[in-house]
Amino acid sequence: MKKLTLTLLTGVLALNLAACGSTSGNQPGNGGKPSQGASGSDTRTYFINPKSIGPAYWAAAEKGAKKAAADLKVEVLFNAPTEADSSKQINMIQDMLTRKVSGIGVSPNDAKAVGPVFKKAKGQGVNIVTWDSDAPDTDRQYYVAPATDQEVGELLAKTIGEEIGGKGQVAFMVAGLGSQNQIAKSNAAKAYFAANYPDIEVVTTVASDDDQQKAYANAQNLLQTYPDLRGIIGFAGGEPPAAAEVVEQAVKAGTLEKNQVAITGIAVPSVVKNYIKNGTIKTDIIWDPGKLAYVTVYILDQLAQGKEIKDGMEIPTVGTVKVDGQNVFIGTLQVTNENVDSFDF
Amino acid sequence: MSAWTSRLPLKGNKLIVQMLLLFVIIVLFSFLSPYFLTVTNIMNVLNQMVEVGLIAIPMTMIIISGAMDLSVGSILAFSAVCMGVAYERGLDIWISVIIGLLAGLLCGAVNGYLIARHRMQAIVVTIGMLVMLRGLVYVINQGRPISGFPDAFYFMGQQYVGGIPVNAIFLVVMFLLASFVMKKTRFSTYVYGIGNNEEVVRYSGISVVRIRFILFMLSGLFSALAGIFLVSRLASAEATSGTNIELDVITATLIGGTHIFGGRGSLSGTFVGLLIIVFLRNGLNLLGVSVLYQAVILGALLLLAVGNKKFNGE
Repeated sequence: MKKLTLTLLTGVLALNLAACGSTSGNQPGNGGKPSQGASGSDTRTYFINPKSIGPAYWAAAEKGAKKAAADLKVEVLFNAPTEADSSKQINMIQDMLTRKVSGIGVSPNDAKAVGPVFKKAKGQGVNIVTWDSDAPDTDRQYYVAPATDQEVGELLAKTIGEEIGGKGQVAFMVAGLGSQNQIAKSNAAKAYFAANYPDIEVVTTVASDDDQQKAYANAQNLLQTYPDLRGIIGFAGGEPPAAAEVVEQAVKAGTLEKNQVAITGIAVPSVVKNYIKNGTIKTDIIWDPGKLAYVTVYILDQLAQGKEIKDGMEIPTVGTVKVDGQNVFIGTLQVTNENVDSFDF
Repeated sequence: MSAWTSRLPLKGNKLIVQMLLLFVIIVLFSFLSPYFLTVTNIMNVLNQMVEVGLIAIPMTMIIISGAMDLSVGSILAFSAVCMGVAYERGLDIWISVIIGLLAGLLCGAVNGYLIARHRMQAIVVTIGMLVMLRGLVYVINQGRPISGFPDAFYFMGQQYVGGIPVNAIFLVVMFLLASFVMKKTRFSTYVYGIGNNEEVVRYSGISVVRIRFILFMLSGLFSALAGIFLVSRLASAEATSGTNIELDVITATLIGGTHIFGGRGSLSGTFVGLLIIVFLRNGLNLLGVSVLYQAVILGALLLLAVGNKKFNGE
């Protein structure tokens, strides 16, 4: 009798849990299109898949994706593993393929590993667009990016080169050593130094795996290991604030002179606002991750309706985009002390 | 000695609870999502559960013996990357696979040597290996993913035989084999015995050192196998593969009714536990539930499983 009660209890509890889960999952969808309560089969659904869930950068992207869902009257599911893990990400894409979504926007953790699942998607007639990080040599149809990795990498190298007067040791901080966009950007920066600032030495490249604590520890280690370090480039959203925080603390503790280490990188303005105001970071490069996600949803929706993607096409709330082959570029922004307050993300 | 003979009726009852839970999950999701109970989705889930499932086999045995192996995820990545590097250096793909398996076996042997021979704490040793091997992986491949394997190799992880994924068939065969070993052989008696009362087994003249050593070797080998299947499925050997997989493996084992302190548990239970977590995760994915909630639900389920054991077990 006891066992029977227990069995029933277990079942009921599991039911409750799953029910809670499903309502919380549906809310954003319903919010997007109040006219239809349940997801009708005629609504187009898109799965937008960042590298992971948690960092501020992806949270900003989620807002943009949800806004696109409301504007275009489609349903958008925004989900990813909690850590930047390629196999979990691919499992999730496979699950969404069985759900028969109309299109998938992926920021792949591993450009090569997504090949087979993209092929499968193509076989099922599901459009794939990569965003933020590309997977070339796969069946993806478009890549939505702020600018080429080459341009961004060169811009970062140029910024730091000018700040430190073209001479000295520079360290690179990246999110993942295996990630295509990180490799391409850091290689472009290295090439730019070699061509334009031969006196700049890139001493090391450290990776945080998108883990904020690890990025922080990496920055501390850099200052310890390279006392003559003049500059740090952070190639992903979590790196520049970690570097800036560590440098500010070292300056406060008196172990480092102010402005000895220049920092630039890619970071969401709201996260680095204080460091920019303090002058620890002079220039920060960013694009609006929300717009990136917005354009991704827009492109997927155009593809689903069989419409053409043209160069210079006007996208509502984003503006004109540059289309070069299979690449869609939305452009970068430079964040400095003058304009840091004008960003809302 | 009779402590583990009484486990039979107990295990039977517990398995019913687990099966019922699985049944409830499947029925629930098939109502909530029209795509859940489709052949493609089920094959898809089977294809995804293989790596966790393979490692869960030796993990169940090790937990029954009263120990734990936390290094499995790092062994997985280490073997995968060793295989990838061997292939990149121009070796035949199947020789590379064997090198990968040997690498895993070697890691398992190191674990086994330290734990069995020197009687070091299993958790401490395997945490050490977890950290060290993950570091080695980054050293070996410089953090870059290795890809470009021949098509014949992808057969293992991406092809279907009679509509069923090859790797899933392999997993089921392995489970059946291991289940046979754990039911019919003397080896299993020793494993359960060590978990219940190590001293008694030792005084019976049985080499506890050897049994423990074999268990950790098996764990290394199966982790390597999982690594190779993972590479075959994803077409890429990367440094981060297998991160946190030990949590999934141990969750499946515990939900499957294996006692964390050893002495009790079964592979059939683990298999059901495995199905519970993969179907739960898949179902929640299909519904578009954020992973943040998924973690909460999975954790709650684990608590439920453990609580249930206390109620039911003694």
